[in-house]
Amino acid sequence: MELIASQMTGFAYSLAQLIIDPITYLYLLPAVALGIIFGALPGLTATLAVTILTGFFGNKFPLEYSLIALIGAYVGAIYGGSYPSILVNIPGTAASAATAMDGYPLTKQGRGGEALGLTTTASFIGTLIGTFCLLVGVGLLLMISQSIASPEKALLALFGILVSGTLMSQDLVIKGWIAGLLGLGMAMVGLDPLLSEPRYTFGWAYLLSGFQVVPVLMGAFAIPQIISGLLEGTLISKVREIGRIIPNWRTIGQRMPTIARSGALGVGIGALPGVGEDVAGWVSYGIGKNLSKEKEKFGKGAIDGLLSSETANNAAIGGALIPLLVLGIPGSPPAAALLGALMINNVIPGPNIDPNLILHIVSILVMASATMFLMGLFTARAFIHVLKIPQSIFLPVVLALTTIGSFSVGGGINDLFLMVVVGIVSFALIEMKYPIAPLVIGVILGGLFDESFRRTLLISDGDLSGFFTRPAAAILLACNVLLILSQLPMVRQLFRRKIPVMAPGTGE
Amino acid sequence: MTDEKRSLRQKDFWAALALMAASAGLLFKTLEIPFFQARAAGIADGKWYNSAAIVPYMVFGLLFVLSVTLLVISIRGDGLPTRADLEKIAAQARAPLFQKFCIICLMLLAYIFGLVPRVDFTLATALVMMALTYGFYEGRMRPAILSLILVLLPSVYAMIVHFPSEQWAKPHDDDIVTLIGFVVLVGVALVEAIRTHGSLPGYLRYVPIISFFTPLLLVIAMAFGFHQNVPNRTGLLFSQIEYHYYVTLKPLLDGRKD
Repeated sequence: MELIASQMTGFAYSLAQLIIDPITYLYLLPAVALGIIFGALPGLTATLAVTILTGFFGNKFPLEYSLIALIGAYVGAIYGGSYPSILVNIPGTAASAATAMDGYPLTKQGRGGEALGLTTTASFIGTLIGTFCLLVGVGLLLMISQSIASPEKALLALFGILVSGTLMSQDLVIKGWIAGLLGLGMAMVGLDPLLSEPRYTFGWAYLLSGFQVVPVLMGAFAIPQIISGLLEGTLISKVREIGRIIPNWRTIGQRMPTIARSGALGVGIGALPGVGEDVAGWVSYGIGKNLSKEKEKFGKGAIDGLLSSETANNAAIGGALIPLLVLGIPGSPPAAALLGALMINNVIPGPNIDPNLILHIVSILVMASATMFLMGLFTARAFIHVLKIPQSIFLPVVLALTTIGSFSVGGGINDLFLMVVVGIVSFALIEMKYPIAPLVIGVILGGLFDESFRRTLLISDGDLSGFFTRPAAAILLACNVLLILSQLPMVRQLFRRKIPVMAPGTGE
Repeated sequence: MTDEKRSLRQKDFWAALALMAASAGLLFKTLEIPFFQARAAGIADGKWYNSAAIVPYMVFGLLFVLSVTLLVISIRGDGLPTRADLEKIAAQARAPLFQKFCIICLMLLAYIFGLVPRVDFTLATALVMMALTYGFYEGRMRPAILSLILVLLPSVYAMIVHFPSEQWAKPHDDDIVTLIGFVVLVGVALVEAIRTHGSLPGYLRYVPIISFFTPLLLVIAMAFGFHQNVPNRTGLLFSQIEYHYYVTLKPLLDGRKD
């Protein structure tokens, strides 16, 4: 309780400082609006919004202000994805794909305005739930993380890559793991972190500093979207009549248990390394359907379905920031972009992070969610017009944004070469149903894994027992092993035999 | 098994082979990193666990094993290509979708490797934005090919004439060729669209303006608003903008009278 009280006091002070500073609004309002536009345009994602802004702000602006813009765009984009999902049945972001299941049927029934009002409110509440958990969770984890040493760090990084690879795979799980290993392999390029031994540089001086995070992010997330969007051709969305956009407080009040459950799920899934909002939306939707007394209404315009996915994907933002701030392990791809921004500004997240920075981030989240709520209610119609912009018009603009953004971060023209090569390879991988998030997580966590794994061996003179004699390391090792075992066909078959499949609705 | 699943397994087969080759190649390359003779701060140290090669061996070794597993899965899933499948792949390579993919990739490569390092950012980006929009807005093949040609010409010229990095900054002949390329592309797009449709399609009225002013505003915002580095500062347009910013505009804004 003492911890919560002290965190709350610090947060209240930080929030008050943010509110009274007029510069806050200069960064926050355009960033949230830009985020909503990015979310609303199919093909543009929250990750891309945060990555492009990272390139723009670089390290030339005070980090406190850059973070306002980056987090504002993050929150806005996750929420903005619901617009095309609800209005034209095209998910603006993968995080809002589940929202389309019930959002679009509501629009077809002439209740699009009501659906938007509900998702705006649910997203707001979801972000606040995530923010509260971030505030408390970070405080608790920071105390625990003081005892985290190299073995735990190595195993956590491995766990992040494995979880991300396992949960993000659309086809075979092995493809997620291969994507993660490709990312880890990319992280091996450059001078090694302990001995400064050059690895895989092929005589090119640029590669001595390894692959930079921002061009890899831009390449992995922007270039494939540009290529696939142009191949699809011109999509001009026709938006139906939606009616008034108002939050139905009575419905919200009646659905509070759904919102609370989805918020908690969103935070939990968001906190899993490398998983994030996309999975949170779907899992929450699936659980909401299983627990609902009106299962048959799901997919036909169920309010519970709409609220389940939208609350969870926004709550996942706060969840995704917990491992990022405490351990330096991003909980989602946009959080990975945020990590890139922190690293450019020489802030290394982890147990030694400045507690005031955490309080500042929590305050920004609250401000961003309030801004998103107000913009969603009062300026939604303006954002709906964005849906009418054809892909083949805005995607070349995105190419210009990513090119200049990637160039500006530091590596210059070589970063652009890296970006375009990573982009074309990522497109090919996506076409073959390889998830890209594990690859990016692998690039980000590869250095941490390499350094902490070898440090453990160095300290123990090559003895591997450090990975299982320490209690926390043993638990993490068990998690890694269980995760791998759970995906092996033999183990899955064994479990299927032991646990008879329940017939839906029979209660047996 | 559905056709889609089988097609995916076939792709997995080729991907597994490529991954096996890549991981084997990288494992071979890892041999260059001292393993039993690791160096620490310039001092030879024979302990294997101090080597920079441990994690790469693990990563690429595991990647090789997973690639083999993927190969087995793909073969079991009917992914081993037959003679008929190979003919189908050849036919797919001639399909418009694949050709469009190749066109986009060539444009991106020409833009990033040829134009951006050597040509003024506004001109290079305006040309490529115009080419991508005109080339792919209607989904027709002819605009895509015309756009590609008009992107490749200035790009290849810039690369041939100013290949070494010391020639990237000046002179401006490649900038002028790119500007001509942009003007010609706009003209070709207008004429071709009118001949095809009988009148000018709505999007072509504003796309040339968007293509030119988006990179122009971006580069100005980036350089003078966000104070970031921008590509090719000595480019034809940007050098003039930068000159007038510091020599004309800034003194005015600072209130100097000289």
